[in-house]
Amino acid sequence: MSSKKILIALSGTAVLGAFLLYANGFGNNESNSNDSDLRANDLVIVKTDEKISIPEGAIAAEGIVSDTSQSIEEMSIKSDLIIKGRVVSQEQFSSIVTHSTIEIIEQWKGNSDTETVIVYQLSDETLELDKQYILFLGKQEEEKENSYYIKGGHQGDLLIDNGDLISHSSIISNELINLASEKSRSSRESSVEEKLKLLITQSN
Amino acid sequence: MLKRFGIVLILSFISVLSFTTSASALVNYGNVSGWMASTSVSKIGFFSASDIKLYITKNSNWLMTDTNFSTYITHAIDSWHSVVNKTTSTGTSSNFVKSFNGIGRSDANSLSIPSNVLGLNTWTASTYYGYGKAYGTHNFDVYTIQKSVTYLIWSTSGAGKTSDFTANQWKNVFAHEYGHGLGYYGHSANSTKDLMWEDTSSYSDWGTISPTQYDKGHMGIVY
Ligand SMILES: [Zn+2]
Repeated sequence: MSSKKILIALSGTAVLGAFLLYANGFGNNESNSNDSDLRANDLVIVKTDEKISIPEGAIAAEGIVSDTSQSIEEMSIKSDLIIKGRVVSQEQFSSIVTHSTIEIIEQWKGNSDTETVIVYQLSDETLELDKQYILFLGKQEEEKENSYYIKGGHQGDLLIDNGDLISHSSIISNELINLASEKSRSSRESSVEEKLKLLITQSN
Repeated sequence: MLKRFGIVLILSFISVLSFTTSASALVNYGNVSGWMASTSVSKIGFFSASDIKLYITKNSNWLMTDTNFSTYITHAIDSWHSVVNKTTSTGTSSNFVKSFNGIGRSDANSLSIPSNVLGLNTWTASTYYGYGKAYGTHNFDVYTIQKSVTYLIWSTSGAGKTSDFTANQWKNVFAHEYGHGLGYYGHSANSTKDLMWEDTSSYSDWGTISPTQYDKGHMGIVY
């Protein structure tokens, strides 16, 4: 091979190398920027009044709710119905919504004419079958008389577990811990459940 | 004969190699730091495509102006951009990766969505991609998300009323839902100041409108 050919090959490699470096660097600069590529006035909003169909095979359905409370008292005032109940059956309404049928054991607030209520939930946060709960409920709009949703998402369901009450909400959990450590005024309200019942019946 | 044996050996080596490097091999993320979701949460997801194709719809019952709708979506995308590092472009009803859909409370009722829900997110057609551990003991699974769909609900009354929301409240809702859409499953167990905290009541001052370093750290596990 002549030295001229080697020189051409070398400079070709150098040009290619320089180009790759440039391309790489350019890509990095772009991804480090804090802006998305589409600006607000580039977004296309499609107006459609087609029937809404929930996508099949959803593995997550998470909601954000507007009615969270800062305390058990606030939550119980906001609730239409507070019950102690047991989950007797569940039906997957769609890939994102589950209906649970709750057998009422005790009513702490409100009046339900029926022995069971139906609780509407997003499927990622459903109650467990056969378990007992204290439920803070709101009336589901435009639905049958005994249809409810849980106040504050997870806030309004307290699992009854071996005499303990378990909450997914840190605000409610902390209050339950304080309630459990309070001195009992009588032997009848020694459990945290009895103390909670007293708190709720007094505040409503 | 020896030559033929050699070829067979090379071919079988290549097929084993291609099998182990194909998508079916699960990725082990090892013991990660940065996990912020509560320990009742055992999944996290991510978009594998480098470009997020957006598809935005509204129906007659969604009464937010297009200008506001666009501003809040752009806010959500911008606020997570430094973690996700992906481009966004306009997609269609069939090729989108992320959709935002503005609907009304009556539509939500027909879907049986609880009356207090003002927005929700679902992932569809996701694939099991890998696994890892948080805090040394907590196992989690990683999914690639093919499509993620966010519904936002316009409601003029009741427990899920949104018609009186301020710009910051909406920015918060959009950024929070986009966090779920990008793969943040469950909620932060770290701080009430996190965008991905469970209770919106912690946003009573509605000051949190963007992910915190902890929210970003959690998503940084997969992005
Ligand atoms: Zn959420």
